[in-house]
Amino acid sequence: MKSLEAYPLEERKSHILVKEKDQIQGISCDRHSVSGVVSQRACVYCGARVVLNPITDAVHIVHGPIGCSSYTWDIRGSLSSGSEMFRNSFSTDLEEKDIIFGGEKKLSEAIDEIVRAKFPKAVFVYSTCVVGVIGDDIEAVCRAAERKYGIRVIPVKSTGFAGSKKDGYKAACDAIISLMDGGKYERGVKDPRSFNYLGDFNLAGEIWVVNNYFKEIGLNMITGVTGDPTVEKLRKARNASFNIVQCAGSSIYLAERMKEKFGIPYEKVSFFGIQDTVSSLIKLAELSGDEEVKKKTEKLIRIMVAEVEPVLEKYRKKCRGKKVAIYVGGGFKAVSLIKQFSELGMKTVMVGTQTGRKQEYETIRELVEEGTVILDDTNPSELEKFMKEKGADLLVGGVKERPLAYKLGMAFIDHNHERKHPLIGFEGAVNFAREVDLTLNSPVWEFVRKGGLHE
Amino acid sequence: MTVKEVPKELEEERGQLVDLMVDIHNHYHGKKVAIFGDPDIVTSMTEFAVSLGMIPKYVLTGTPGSAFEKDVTDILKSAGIEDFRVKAAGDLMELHQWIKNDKVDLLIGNTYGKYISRAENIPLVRMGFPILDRVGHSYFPVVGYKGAMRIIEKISTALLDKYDRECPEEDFELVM
Repeated sequence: MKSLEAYPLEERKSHILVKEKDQIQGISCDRHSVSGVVSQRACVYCGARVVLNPITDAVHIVHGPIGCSSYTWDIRGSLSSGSEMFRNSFSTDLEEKDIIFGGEKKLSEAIDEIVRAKFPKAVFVYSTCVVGVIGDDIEAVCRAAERKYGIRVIPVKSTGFAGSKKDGYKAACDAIISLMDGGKYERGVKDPRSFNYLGDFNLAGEIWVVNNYFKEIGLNMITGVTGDPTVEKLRKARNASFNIVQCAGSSIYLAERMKEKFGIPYEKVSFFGIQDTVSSLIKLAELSGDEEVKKKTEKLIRIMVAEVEPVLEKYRKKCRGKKVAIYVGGGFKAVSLIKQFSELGMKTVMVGTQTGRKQEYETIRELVEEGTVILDDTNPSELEKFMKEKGADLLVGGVKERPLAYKLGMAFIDHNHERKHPLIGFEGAVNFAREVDLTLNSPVWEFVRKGGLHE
Repeated sequence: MTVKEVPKELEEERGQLVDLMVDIHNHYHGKKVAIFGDPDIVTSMTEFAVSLGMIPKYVLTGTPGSAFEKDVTDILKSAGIEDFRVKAAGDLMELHQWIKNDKVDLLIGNTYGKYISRAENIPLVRMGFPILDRVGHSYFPVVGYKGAMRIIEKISTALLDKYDRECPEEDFELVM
């Protein structure tokens, strides 16, 4: 444990907060990671890729060394109702020679080849760290290709070193705006019941789960951004009367841009957990301003809650009183998870996010009990230290956090973008409870506690 | 009894076992299993399955005797399992009927189980006597920490192989 005595590092102290009652507390967030600290954040390019990748019928060309491409190949558990093109990873495979003499020629050849072979509706060209260093003019290459083929070829400015995953989200959102904005556009008639669903990526078909609710209450989702969209659908997104945003971390910037550019207002929602699903559906019905929709929404909520509540009660009995640590990407998801665990009678003792914003941290602080540790952009050492200190039974995180939990003898549940089980909506809340039970109540933790070398 | 420290070798073996269980626990926890064969091995396999968090739904032996039924019932009840069937002096025909009515995820027993395994597409982990169609059983342990590791390896491999063969394409993953 000696190595831990140095933690937290002086520079990290302001990113860590222990909730105290009746006190005004602030946390440093929304900043670059501290140099030398093993941040759990991913790179700029990865951030851009995870947002854009689910655009099903687009080709994604990664201009960089092959590693950037293979690392993010089929990175999401996003499902498609049509094209499976997005599950490929195309790369310009930059090598030493290209890095010395420049890779623009190789890129334009790659675009030629792919357009002739696959006839895509749009091409996204991602910049990477190496490209940023050698200074290839990707924009010029894309412009030339656009003229040549008459399809959208959009550069994604996800050059590394310049920031973290979050800057990648921004680059991706800019690319989406460019796709929506460019080319001919026919203004349709705005239906007050038509909207876009931003920040859901159709992991395990989640957007289909919630879209069923939308249909049930008489609303019309134009497209998910980027949950199961096509290039065509994204270009129609401008016709929406309003936007709703699930993953605020990645998509609030897009919502802001759409508001400013196309005059589409937005509202934050969350369909994780019963409580949030219910309040989001009500919010949605309000937004449509339609009495019929409101009535149908009330009915849907009544039916679904009656259906899942008895099942949840079964799991609640088995999970009540257990302590949980949360480490996820965005702040809004953390908020949803805290509520969801309290629905199961569980207590959050540590909560952290990679890219949470000030306002979200404030909400988190209000939600949690006294003594709960709140972390921004943390690292494995801090996670280990605080989970041990707080005696957490379960960690919720992404795939990077799993070995950490397991080696500490702690149950683990994956709530990241590779997962394959829908955790959204009413059905998802049941799945979630089942997954929590599956790991948390395994007898294996008893064997770990009984000791051995680990103690 | 000897008032001696647990030797380091044993601690290490136990550590390896627990580590392995942690890594794979979510793949077998909650799975339903049918266990059959001779009472000695069936009783201990039932206990083992319970300690993994599996649910022994059917436990059956051909040997007569009420002690078996009582022992196994005690194990299952104390693990909080309610929906199960235990039988001494049973046969595989009967087990097959039970399984047809209400399926399990895994079979643990001797080679005679392969007919049910094939008919119902349920993986079979070969344990007990006789094993007539696979090799090496006289060389590999089934007791102690190493034995536990081997059985867990067999169980999780059987379940995951089936999953990998049959899951939808989008669920087919390099890392489980």
